[in-house]
Amino acid sequence: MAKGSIVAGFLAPHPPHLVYAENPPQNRVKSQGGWETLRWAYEACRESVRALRPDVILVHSPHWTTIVGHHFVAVPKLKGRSVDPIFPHLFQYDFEMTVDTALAELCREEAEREGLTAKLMTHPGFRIDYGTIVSLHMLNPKWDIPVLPVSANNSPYFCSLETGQEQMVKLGRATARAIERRGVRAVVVASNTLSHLHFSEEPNPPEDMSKEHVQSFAQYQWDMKVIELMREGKIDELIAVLPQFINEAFAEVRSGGLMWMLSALGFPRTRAKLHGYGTVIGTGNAVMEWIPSDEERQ
Amino acid sequence: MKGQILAGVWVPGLPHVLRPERNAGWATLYRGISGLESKISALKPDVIVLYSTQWVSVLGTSFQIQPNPKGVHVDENWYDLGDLPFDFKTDVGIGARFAASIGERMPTKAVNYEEFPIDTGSIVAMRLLNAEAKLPVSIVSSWVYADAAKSGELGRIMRETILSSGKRVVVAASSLLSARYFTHEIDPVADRVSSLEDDAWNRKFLGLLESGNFDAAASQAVQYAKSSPLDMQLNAFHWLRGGDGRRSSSGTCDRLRANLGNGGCRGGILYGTRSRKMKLETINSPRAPFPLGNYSHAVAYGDLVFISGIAARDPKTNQVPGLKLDADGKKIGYDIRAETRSTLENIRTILEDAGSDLEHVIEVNTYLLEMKDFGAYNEVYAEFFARHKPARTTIGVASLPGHIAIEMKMVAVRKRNG
Repeated sequence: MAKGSIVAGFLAPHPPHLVYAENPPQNRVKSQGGWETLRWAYEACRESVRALRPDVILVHSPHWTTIVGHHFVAVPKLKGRSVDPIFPHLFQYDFEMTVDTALAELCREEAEREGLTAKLMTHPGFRIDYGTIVSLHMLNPKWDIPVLPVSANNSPYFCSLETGQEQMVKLGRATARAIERRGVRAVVVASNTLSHLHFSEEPNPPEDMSKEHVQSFAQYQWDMKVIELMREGKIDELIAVLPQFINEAFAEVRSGGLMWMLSALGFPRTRAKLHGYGTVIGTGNAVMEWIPSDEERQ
Repeated sequence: MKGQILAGVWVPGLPHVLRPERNAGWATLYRGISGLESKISALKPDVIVLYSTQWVSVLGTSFQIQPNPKGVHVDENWYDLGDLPFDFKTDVGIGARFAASIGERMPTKAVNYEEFPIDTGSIVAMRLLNAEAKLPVSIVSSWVYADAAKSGELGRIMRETILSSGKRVVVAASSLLSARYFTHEIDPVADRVSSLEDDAWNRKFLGLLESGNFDAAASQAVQYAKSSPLDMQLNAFHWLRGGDGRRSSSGTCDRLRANLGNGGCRGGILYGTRSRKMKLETINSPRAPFPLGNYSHAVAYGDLVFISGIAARDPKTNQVPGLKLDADGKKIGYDIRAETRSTLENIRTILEDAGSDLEHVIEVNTYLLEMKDFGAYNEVYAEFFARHKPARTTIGVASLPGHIAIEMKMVAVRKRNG
């Protein structure tokens, strides 16, 4: 079997509003549109994913929070209806996904080799979180590429931030080795917003874009700073400011997805491509893509 | 007729408490919460209003108004602990009233969606407080942007709404105390509070609740939150306190027990019932050999635990250790040392599940079939009671049931504060 590799990484935020606004057949709730800049950004990502022809998409979602260890879904087929517990009026989505269970097993093995607690989630009745579903839908609404959902271990919330992020670096390395061993072309996806303070009230209808804006100027400034560092490929500087960004902008990347993805990509110096930035009830969302250079892929 | 809040209840909403056979602390929590069911039932409420920290909302406080949520939930963390079936009746009217009252002052939503993901905290609390779903429930979310003041205000508005509703209500909070989990796999048997500092704070806080001093508990909560990671910043407490118009009534919050590294209060009635009238509580340990007659392993009355006459039996094989029988089932040999050890181990297990231990035994009565066995029995006994020596009586008897050579009964006191 040929050695596998990661062909791209995406920062792919998961507000259910984006699926709601698109009116796909899978969602029972219908809208009048909205959040177009983010949805257009995702359209570009979809084209990119089709062109890359990956065998599997791995997604790390903060809404599947696990307390003991890092979990990988290892059920071959998962299907059902996902109703968002926070925005149930926007997201009632019928999903069906094929999971690369062999890759899940390799990820678990490699994570344990890194000294991490890791586990396979094999319960067929498991309710996959809406964050995983939204990011995967926005990247591949046909669901015709196998996936591997990865949980967000909550250690960054209980240990120090540094300890938690160190775990994600190890998990990223482990994921990259597992992909190599599996011999697949993989896309790794961090399902995270950037600044993450919401408004507590939404307009009626929710897609009234005249009311949509960033929650605070400070959040906006942080988002722009972080995006700029990623666009310029200044990964070391990005990692240096990440703790301050997380604390001051209440950034969702605290849950570790971004660090995991960057680590899996080998902390690429490649400039990330910004497909779009937009806010969703005040939170800052950037849709970004990293295509590692041949050297970095080695 | 004016409505009434009959009682307030605090329970930890982790699925571990539904698996009492795996850990003595979980068993204590299970018994504690289950014991509240009969207390609640005796109060004859119209509805339980349940605040769950595991239903997190962003757009203000949400209220479940789907008439009959039902399904099977698989917890995202603890799926190995088993499925969580649920089938509630919702008090739609009171949920809608709450949303309307709160909506005048704060953001809120009434939620009515098929297949809405009911959270583990709500399911666990209802499984134990309202096992047969006889009572309707109104589930309240934990608003992520509510601080102590807002949570207290929510409690006050809900109290006003309950009083004007004419309903008799038990309010319940499904929440942990300290929420510093172990982050690696542990043997459930070895579960304990993960941090001594958290443990000390949990005990201090529970002590204030136990003495009915809600105001002091609220002022201490600020420092408590700085020292320990608290479940949703202890908003469930502020919500409960807001719902308590008197604020300083007596409480009977029971012992603290480990719950996968968390501090969980053993489901105590915090306010509403002023009386501390003690009730009988029967105890049967799932870890000890099952009773062979019409009796319980133990009965507790307040802090006193009365252990039934217990004999030697292996809880896994149900065999008497050391006993030899011939082909006709006639006793041809026994080992008094093995029987004494097995008897004391079984009693120790029952004591643990009753919230006590051998160190808290007051009185022991031993019945020996052969007084010639006294020396051997006494030696083994001394291994179990090396330092603490309870009052003891040893009597020779003409016969004992089955083929046993020794039976023991004890009286113990429950441990204070776990």
